[in-house]
Amino acid sequence: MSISKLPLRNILRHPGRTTAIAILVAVLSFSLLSGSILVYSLNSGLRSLENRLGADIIVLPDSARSKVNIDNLYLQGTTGYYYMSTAKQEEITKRDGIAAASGQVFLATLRADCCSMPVQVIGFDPETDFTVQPWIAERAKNDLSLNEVVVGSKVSAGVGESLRIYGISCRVAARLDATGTGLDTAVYCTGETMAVLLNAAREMNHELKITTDPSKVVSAVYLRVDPAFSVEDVANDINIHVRKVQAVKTRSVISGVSDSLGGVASTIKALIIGVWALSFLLLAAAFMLLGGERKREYAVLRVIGVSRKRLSGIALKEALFVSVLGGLIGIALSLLIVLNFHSLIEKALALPFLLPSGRNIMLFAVSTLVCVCIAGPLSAMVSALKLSRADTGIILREGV
Amino acid sequence: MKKRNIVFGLIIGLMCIVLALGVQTFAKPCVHDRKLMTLLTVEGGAVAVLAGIGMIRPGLKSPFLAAIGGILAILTPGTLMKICADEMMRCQVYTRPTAVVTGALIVALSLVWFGLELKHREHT
Repeated sequence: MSISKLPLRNILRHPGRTTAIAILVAVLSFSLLSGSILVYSLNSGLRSLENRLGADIIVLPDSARSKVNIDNLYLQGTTGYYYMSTAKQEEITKRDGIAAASGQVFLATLRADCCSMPVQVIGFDPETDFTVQPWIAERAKNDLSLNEVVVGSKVSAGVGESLRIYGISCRVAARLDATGTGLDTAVYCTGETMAVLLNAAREMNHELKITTDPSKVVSAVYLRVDPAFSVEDVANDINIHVRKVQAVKTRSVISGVSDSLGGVASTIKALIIGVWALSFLLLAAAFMLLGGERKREYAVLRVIGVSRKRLSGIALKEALFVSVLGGLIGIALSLLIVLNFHSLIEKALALPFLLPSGRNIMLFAVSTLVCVCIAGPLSAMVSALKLSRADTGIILREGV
Repeated sequence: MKKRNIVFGLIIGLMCIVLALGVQTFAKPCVHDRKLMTLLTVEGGAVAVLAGIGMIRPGLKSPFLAAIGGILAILTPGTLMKICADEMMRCQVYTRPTAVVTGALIVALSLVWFGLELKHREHT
């Protein structure tokens, strides 16, 4: 048998020892990959929310504050029901420093049947809109006709399929990109479709919050501020001069989310460091103990002419093979659990959560494998050096 | 009883308990999905029995059938039986991931067990 095959033979001949070390390495790779995917998902969720809000300021009626937590407005599946007259929108739009303004109407949250989540129907104006249409990922055609809707990424209907809302069959004309927030469960339609849905809801005796003509009310006005003006000044101007509304800076919504996200991300990072430190120490201790037990085996190898360098090479190669095995097990487990339970994680964290693309996940997995393949042999380094430098004669005479 | 068979039998048995009890408790599907719940519990129970048999009477049959049971557990929610399409419903958030994760672990462990049994058979 060639000496180069010895490390692999050693691993295969001692399944118990190999399994124990592989489990430790698997813990390392599991914690690193899962933690990295979680932190990345939270960060990309926040970035997506930041981009997707599109507006600098959101103006809501005063009644909105008592109904929803404004900071979490877009993290919840439901944005709530509150309305103000379109006259207010005109009044807001006339203020100085407004580059673009678009109103949206939030209709009641619906639960189609026992097996579907409630969806928020949002009426928007395609003519002025700048927050919905730029995020269309897939579309059948450009214009939205009557009874056609744009759906969030988590609404279970594909482009070209139909969605029944209050008994009305609405054709899905486009699908939006995922944001990892409550916006993913919303259905967007034009004012005309909204009026049809409202009438259908009234016919079905649903209690509605909109009592007047839906074309005369808005729930929120999204504003883009002229670069020559400060967002702060424009928001303050609206809050002071337009009665019964509140202008919320989207920055403040995002910074609230960002603070919570920072806390979660730091906890995950601390956990990864803790698990790594502990596992690394345990691995080093395991290799030291094993080295002690295998003194005679290495002494015999020295006697038959294996050099000190080659001896430590055998020990490091063994550590590398076990690290690859453990690393692959940890990666497989991590992907199995994180990718399957991502909805549960998202629900539990209540923060924007957007999984990385397949390519990025692969990149994370490869990086994790590289890291554990460095950490494994590194933890075995001391033991390997100690073994290669031990006095062969003494070991063999001691008979230990 | 061989140590190897006890270890594999116990771990696979534990996975089956998580699956069978999980779908009755924390991973319970939506109200109308009683059939799905019953089927997954039966699959979990059957694989647990196979793992038990494999511990007492070592052979290739038990790990092979346990692996098939694991594959069935993976395929039951969504492929063999329809579940809610909405991504945020209980079936999708709890039931399906629990069945897929435990099923995949059962398959992986059963295949390793099968391989070791096969190797042992070749040696004897």
